[in-house]
Amino acid sequence: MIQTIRLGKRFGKVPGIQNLSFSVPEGEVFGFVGPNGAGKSTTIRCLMGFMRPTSGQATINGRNCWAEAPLIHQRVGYIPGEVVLPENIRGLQFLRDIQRLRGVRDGSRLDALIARFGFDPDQPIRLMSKGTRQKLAIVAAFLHDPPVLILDEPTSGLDPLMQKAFVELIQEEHARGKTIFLSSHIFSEIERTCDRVAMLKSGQIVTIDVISSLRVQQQQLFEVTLAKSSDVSTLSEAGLRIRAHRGTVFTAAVHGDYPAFFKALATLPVINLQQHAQDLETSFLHFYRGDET
Amino acid sequence: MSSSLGALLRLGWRSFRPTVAAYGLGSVSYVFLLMWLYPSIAHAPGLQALLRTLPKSLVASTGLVAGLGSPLAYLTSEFYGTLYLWLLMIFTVVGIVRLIAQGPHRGSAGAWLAGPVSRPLWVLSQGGIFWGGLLITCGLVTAAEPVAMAIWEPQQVIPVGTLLLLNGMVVLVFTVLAGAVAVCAAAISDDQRALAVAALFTMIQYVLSVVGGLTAGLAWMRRLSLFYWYRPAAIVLGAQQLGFPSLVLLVMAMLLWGTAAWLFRRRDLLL
Repeated sequence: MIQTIRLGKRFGKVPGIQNLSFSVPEGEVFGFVGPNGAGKSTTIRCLMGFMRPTSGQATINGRNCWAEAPLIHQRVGYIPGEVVLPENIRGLQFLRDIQRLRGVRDGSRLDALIARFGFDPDQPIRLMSKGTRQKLAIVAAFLHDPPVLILDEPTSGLDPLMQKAFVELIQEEHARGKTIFLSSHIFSEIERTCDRVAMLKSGQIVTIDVISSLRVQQQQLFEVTLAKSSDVSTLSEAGLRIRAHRGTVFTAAVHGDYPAFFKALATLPVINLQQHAQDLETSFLHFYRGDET
Repeated sequence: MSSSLGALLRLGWRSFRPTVAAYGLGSVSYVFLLMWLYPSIAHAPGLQALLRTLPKSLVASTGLVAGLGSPLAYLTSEFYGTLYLWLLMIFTVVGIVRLIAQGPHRGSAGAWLAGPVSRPLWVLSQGGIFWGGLLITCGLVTAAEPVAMAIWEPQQVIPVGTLLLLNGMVVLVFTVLAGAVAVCAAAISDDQRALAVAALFTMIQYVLSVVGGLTAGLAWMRRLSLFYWYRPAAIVLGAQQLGFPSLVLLVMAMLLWGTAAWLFRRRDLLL
């Protein structure tokens, strides 16, 4: 449904994104994560036809995102990374105008979305809080029930309760077969909603994988308590990373090479061993820092 | 398409309406103020004598060619050749930059441009909103003049045809100027920079027109200006054929608005 082939965008001499190739099949929720300035928003702007790629191409449903943007927009709901709305109108007027723009005649979905996010849209937008404006942008993106959703940090500014409501909405839309491209810094959100995730760093994709596979790949932390203070350099020599060391307790990060870890432990007076599951966030940070895998 | 266009026009008009109201009422207020002053000026022989002593170049450059003999001639020099131009120049530059450059640059047009709307349609819809505002402003001025004349110069015959011609030419000239400003607004992504460039362009146009009117030797400068095609004194005196200038202005307007739509289609948007 969504595809990029060697997509690149340069800003003068500065490369924004380079050689991005990925494909999101119909019905998949695809997460897109990366540090600030990695090129997530640039990729999304290319997908929305707001930016002309300097190389490669992006397509949605087989249509070129730059050349056929208006046709693509008919089937896409979009939340920008930074929500800016017309200040001089009321929220409800804005939503009604979006309905007209989208040719939506039935107002039931609009009413249901407003009720789900529990806010009063009939107030001037200039008086709305950041969170309420974000809710307005979410409702505007979903109200025409598009088959494709491109969401750039959609829960920015929402309180935890509303973030939960949003995750539930994404899960429902996923179940209805929608294709969703979700950029987010909130890893729990990615973990709970996405089938696959791509990690972007310095304008290039570091890895694309299914969430379950990433969990398998991620490092495990072991907290080891020794009977007495000992020389733990054998662990370092075995290629293991000592994350923390406090008296007789140390924490080792293990990624894959468990035999070496246990072989090294066998030489030490271990009295307690605890494993800590890493969350996806820690796993991503591990990738960002360029640590060995 | 039609529902999209309707929604675009509705939203754009909603934000542009206060600007139109301010400039429309401001222009009408000036007409009333000037017409209120007219009887004292028209019946001041000293002032008439003073005007006769002024150099021809100064009279030409200040638009006083038509004299002060009739309310319309007076309005031509005091309003149509100066105040009205200034008002509409500001209205055009500020209005077009706000309609075309501000929303995409600051992000508030994101919801519309993410909709099923082509960029040329978006630019032309904003142009349509401006044009509607321009028509309303000129319409209010056209309607205000007979009213003001009926109040302060009731014995005068109201030259409705000349008023319509004057304001018709104003609409054409400012449609072209709006097209030039739209080119700036479509090409320059920063709305403040677009405003500065468009204001500079408009100032140059006006200065070329004024300086070019001072002497015959500088007349070539006037030909470089858009305002060359707008001579209110000549219209009032019936000395200007309007067919060819109107055609030239129409072609210019179409070319400029087409260029603005084309440029906006090609540029990157940070939405």
